Amino acid sequence: MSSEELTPESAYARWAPEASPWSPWVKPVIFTELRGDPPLPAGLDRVEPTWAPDPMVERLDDDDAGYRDAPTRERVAARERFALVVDLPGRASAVEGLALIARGYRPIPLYNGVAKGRMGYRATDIAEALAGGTRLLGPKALPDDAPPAFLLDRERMNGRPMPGEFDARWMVFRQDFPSATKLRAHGVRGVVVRSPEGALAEDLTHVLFDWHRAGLGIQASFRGEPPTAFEPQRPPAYRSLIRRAQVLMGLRRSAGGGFGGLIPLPSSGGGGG
Amino acid sequence: MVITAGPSLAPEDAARMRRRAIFECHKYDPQSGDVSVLAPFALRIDEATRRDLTRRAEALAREMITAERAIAADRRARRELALPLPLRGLLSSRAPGAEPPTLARYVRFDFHPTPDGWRISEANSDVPGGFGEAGGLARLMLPHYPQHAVAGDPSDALARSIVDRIGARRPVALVYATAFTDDRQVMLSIQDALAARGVESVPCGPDALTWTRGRACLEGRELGGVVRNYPAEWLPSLLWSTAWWRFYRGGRTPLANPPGPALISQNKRFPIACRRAGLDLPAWREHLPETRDPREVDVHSGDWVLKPALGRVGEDVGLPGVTPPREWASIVKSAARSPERWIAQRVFETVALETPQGAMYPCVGVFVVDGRAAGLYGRLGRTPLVAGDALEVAVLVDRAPVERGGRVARVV
Repeated sequence: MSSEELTPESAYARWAPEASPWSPWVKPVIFTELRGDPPLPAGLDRVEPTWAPDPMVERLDDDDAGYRDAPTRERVAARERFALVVDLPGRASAVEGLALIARGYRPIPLYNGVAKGRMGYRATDIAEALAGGTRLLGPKALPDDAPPAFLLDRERMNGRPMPGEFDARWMVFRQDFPSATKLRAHGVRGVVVRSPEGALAEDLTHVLFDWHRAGLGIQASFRGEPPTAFEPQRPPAYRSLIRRAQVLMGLRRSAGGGFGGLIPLPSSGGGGG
Repeated sequence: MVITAGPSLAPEDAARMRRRAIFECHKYDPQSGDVSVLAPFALRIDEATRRDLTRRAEALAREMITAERAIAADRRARRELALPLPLRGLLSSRAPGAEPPTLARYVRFDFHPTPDGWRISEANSDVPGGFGEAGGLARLMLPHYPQHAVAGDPSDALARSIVDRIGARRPVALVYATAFTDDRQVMLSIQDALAARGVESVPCGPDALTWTRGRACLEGRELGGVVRNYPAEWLPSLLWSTAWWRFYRGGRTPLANPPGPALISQNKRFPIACRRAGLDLPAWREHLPETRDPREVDVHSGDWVLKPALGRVGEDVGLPGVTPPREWASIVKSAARSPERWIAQRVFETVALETPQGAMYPCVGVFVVDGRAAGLYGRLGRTPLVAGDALEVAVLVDRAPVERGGRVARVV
């Protein structure tokens, strides 16, 4: 990257600068998987996130301009700004996030998995892309008020572990994102979700429905097409104790007080001990 | 008791401390919704308060261990615990196979200041969290508070106990639910402390262990011991072929917090089981509010908190006047449907402290490792219900005998 050695802490500091209001939501654990100083991810130059609304607009200042003078052009924050949720598989999500920097969005990694177990390669791939892309996040890469692009791994729940395997899956909860109130306080009026398919991940629907109920407009871009209005449906057991009961059966909150997904192995069925 | 909130760090110092907490103390969940959960200031107690809390916590731990044994031997008392079916027989002291030997026993009691003195609401005796916060976070805060001291480090105390018990010859497994990064941080704090004492340890899931003639092995190596941060009542959700029951019966490898006894006292119906067994626990009587079966009380009176017997981190706890009405109604309904899985605990008034972030309700967790107090874990709730969204705060002991100025409030 430069003469400065890239460490998990120095990379985290670049991705979560103190001046950005969205830095507190950057999940730290993926940064513990950073190794070395890889180059920019291959294929980044071919990614064009045209689906993302431009967070800046051009203002023409023609006051006192004579007919021979070109009007002054200035890039200013759009009145209608969006937060993005990029829910693409593994490395593709990180690369899309890096491409969004040029578009004026601050990528906020929410990856919460570690590089262990059979599926741990996903975290390794993501961490490598983030490490390589750290060089794009210099102090002046983005304005402090750049809107956020929350990055998720669409395959976070894939790969049910076999007995004895490390469970590297994870999921998102409402508590992993800013509230609608916080988003609005920083000029965000809506959210665009970038998803590879025509259906959104179940855990994400709880977050989107929450924002929708609080008055944020939700749009979705499937397969990179231009975003269209999307009305999230109330997910089953939204904010209910029934969901909590279901969570107790399979996907639980942490015993330590935080959040994450625990998926017990298939319940008992044969074998000796 | 004297407990006060200290002045806030400068923003750049707070940001640096947050980063160091992440990368040096494995604090991987520093944000919950809009709340940055690491307080940028410390809770301060005086030395007399530290000694007082130590004495209280150690007395509670002694009584708890005596009561666990008595309840294990009393079938009627065990039935009060409404345990999951696969565990009922395994917790009996007459179940076949011996209980695994104890590697270490640790528990965290959360003390709340009230107008009548300290109160606890339960024991975190199965898989208490807060190891990194009690030790590492307090150490990071210490340079900003001259003339203060850290009140111990539970990770180090646990590591010391383990080395005293089994030496450093064999590796130790650190068993946790591997999909939880925040449980991983507990394990990594303990791993660091073991490494500092020359003990190799390996974080892994409970099903990664294999058992040979009752001895736990990991990747073909026999283990010296197992530290478990995987809740006791979740073990039966594993495949039978993983021999999860060895954690309860027939295992010969020493376990930290053997799940059988731990599950008895972690259960919120523990006081009801104690009563059924005819046990008198003076320290528990002094500190724990009256605890009843929901069928014995009028839950609508506003005098009772409802808690699930096997709930954790404040989940599904209903506190009249604090829990939103819809949620409270849902909790009441659940408690009415299965009252044997709930408790009603008499509401107690907690005292708010003035902090740099406004009035907050403190809770001081005291770790006890093998009978000795070993560190303080502070949390601050914005409501009297200190749950998962509470601030985590370093607790420091003020070594100066005089009360300092600033944002200081004497509680009692």
